[in-house]
Amino acid sequence: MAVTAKHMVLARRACQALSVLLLSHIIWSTHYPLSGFINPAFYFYMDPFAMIITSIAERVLLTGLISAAVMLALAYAIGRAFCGWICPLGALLDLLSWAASPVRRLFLKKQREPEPSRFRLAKYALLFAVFVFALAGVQTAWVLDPITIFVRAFSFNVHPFVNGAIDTGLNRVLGATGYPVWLETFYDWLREMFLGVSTPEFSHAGTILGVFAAILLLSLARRRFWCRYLCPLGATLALPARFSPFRRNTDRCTTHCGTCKNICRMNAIRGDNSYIPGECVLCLDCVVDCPGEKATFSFSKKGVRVQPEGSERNPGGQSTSGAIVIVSSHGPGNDAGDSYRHHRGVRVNPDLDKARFSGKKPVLTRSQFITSAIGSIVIASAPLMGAAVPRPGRPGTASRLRPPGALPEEEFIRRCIRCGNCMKVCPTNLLQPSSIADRPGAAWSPVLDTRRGYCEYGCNLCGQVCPTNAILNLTVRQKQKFQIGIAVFDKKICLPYAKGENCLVCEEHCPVPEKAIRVKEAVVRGKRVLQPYVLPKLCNGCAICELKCPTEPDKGIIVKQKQDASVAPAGDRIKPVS
Amino acid sequence: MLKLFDAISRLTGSQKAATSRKDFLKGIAAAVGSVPVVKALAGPLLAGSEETLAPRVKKSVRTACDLAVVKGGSPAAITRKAIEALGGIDLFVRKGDSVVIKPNIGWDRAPEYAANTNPEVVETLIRLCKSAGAKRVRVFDNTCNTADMCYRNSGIAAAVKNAEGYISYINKAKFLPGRFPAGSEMEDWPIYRDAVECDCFINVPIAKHHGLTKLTLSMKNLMGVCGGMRGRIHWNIDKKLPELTKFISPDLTVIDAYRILLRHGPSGGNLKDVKKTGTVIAGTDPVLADSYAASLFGLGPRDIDHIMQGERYGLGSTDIARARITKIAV
Repeated sequence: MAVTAKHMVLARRACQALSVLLLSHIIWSTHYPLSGFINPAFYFYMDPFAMIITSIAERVLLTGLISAAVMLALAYAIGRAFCGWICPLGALLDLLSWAASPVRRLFLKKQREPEPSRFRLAKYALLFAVFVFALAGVQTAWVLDPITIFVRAFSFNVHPFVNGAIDTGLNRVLGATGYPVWLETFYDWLREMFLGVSTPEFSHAGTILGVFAAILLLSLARRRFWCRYLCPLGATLALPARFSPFRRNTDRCTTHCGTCKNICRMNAIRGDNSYIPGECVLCLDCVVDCPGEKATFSFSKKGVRVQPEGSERNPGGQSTSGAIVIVSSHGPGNDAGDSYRHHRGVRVNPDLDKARFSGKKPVLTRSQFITSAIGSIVIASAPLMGAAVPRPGRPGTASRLRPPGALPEEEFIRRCIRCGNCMKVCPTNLLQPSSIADRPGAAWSPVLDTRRGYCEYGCNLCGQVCPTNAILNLTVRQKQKFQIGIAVFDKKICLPYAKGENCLVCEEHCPVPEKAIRVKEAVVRGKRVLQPYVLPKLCNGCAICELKCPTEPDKGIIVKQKQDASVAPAGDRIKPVS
Repeated sequence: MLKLFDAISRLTGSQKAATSRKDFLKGIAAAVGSVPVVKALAGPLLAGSEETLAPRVKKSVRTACDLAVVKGGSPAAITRKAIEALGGIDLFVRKGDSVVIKPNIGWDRAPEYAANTNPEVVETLIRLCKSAGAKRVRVFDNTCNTADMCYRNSGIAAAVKNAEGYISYINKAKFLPGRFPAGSEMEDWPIYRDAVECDCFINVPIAKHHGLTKLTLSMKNLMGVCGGMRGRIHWNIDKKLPELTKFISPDLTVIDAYRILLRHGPSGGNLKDVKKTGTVIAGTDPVLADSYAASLFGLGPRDIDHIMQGERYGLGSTDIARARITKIAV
């Protein structure tokens, strides 16, 4: 048995599924102690768009440019196979189109693909715009990069939701059943292996989800709407792909039945059977589904030859007319090749529809079953889910503090592609996406929300997972010396100053071995009290003092940007008590 | 391989999708209709808990001496010897008991920095409990730094696993309001359920410096079973710690002073601040154990207010001179 195009299509689907699973696994494992077998920056290195634009905007040669060049060379060699076979966002869009096809069929009675639209050029326009901005030193790749969009949605929405739902759900069951040993053991095991100690929460997750959802929903109108018309990574890959010698060959087609034009998910095939190489993602549907059994669709220029399904089994062929072949050889429900056309939601041939409905109708078809099953689960579990969804916690932070090892502000904004890796990996949930309203140019870049978390003294994970080195990969020792900001006491709130009560939670938690927060003895309202003060030279701004400070709602100690911390030498004059 | 692909293709492509709009709407209606059923079934799961925790009752145990102080050997050897000197672990742990061992795992520091309890001390205690027939030996701490980092880098997670104890991260849902005496400042303070619901509670602090309380010993170590905004326990801490200790009533206190942290506690981080004294102190009286441990720092019970308050509260005695103390050098 030879490798037919059918096998290639199955291989493609397997590849797509693996890619989504792999990236999901990578993102899920982006947490302490970072034991995942692949660096979280891996997918970004495969992304020439993000790498090149970032390099231009920042005028720097990123190491990722090497892999970006390899990807472009591959695109020249075999076309946009990345889009059809690897891209996790593309895979999700395909899956969604497939799952939603029964729904679409209900409402769109006759869907045929029109001639390739000039609107496809929009993605080149977007790429050009991003490029021009990059030349001007403004980084905008993060808005439209598909890998970033996928990773961000997974880190900020999917992971917290799934994690939170499992954690809360299991805890409800545990609480209601009185913590049976076996279930608790399972729960603790799950936490250690899978869930982590706590579920992170992110501000602006709603907006981030909105962008992702919009892209998904657009694919209901047109399959791979995003990839056809908007994706700048696709456009980047299309630039070399359009000159690729590896092409679809329709020399042997005699019928021009139009099947391939209608099933093409990228709308890359014209009515006259010609196609647009820059649009083709090598999904191979047109090869598999070609009804003309003598009419060969093959990639042939460079000697690569993928034979259409059936040409092996029926070497002689029965007919020369594609249309007749369809009706005669594709009886209802018994030919595997046939169904490929239907569960994509595209009606190919009206005769075929009649043939289909005249046959025995199954009680519940596969896609119908899957759609209704998923629908029922989602709707029926709504009350449980409602309990499980993390409540939109605090509002976003107005903080301008950057992660430890971050480049100077302007450079940082140019380099950061807002992938969210640093925020996902942060063990204390300190790193949060900044708001769009605050500064649109810096939107969704990581800032420190010191009311949610603090910078863990022995941790340098954010620098390790940054794909563009916007956060430097510091050693733990270097990171401990890196000054994020400086802690400043608010003596109107800090208890030993304001009320003369002992507290010293800040001093207790200060992780600097010599203590950046020291203590002096004072007398307030006749009471002897221990008052803390900061040694600005030792303070690295980790903000554990601010987080753990027990005053509410305002904290007695706040970490400020270095330039804002008026370095009052209050402490230096006073001798510390030993 | 190709045959497998063919089989898959036959499976995935064998049926037609012939949905009618009616069927589809029926499906939606059924799903929506099932919401109240699911809600009713899930009712108990959605209800909030109103449980509270009653204080623990301390075991009355007649030990061979009031305090065992063992010095000189490996952490494992001195721990073993100290328990032996008290009369053996069998005094505290019966067959089938569920035991809680509460070390200090508060900080993301390696054992050498003396910020966390020595893992070998913990491991030895678990082995002893297991040998006495304990069914489950739980180890946990509500950490100050990130829990997984503390558990791992303190060496305690590995030690517990070696000894086949049970270590788990704090589960926030298991904090319940404690029934402290009315009017107490600790009233309704969230306390970890497992700390109270056990047959035997062994408190295993490390002796170290602390900015506010001068030293952190066994009574201060119990803050690790508290939830809520724990920083507030620092407000009037000398009164709160005895109340907390009374509530938990540890059956056995084993103070790890193998290494002690002299300055910059409780988190430390500088090896110059660490002194190796090679000592373990064990006893049933937390006040006495703390008083003795203070002497390792050149302090007396009178220097540390919460120890004095503990004596006044009836938790034990600060009188080291009169106590029956067995001192052993290994």
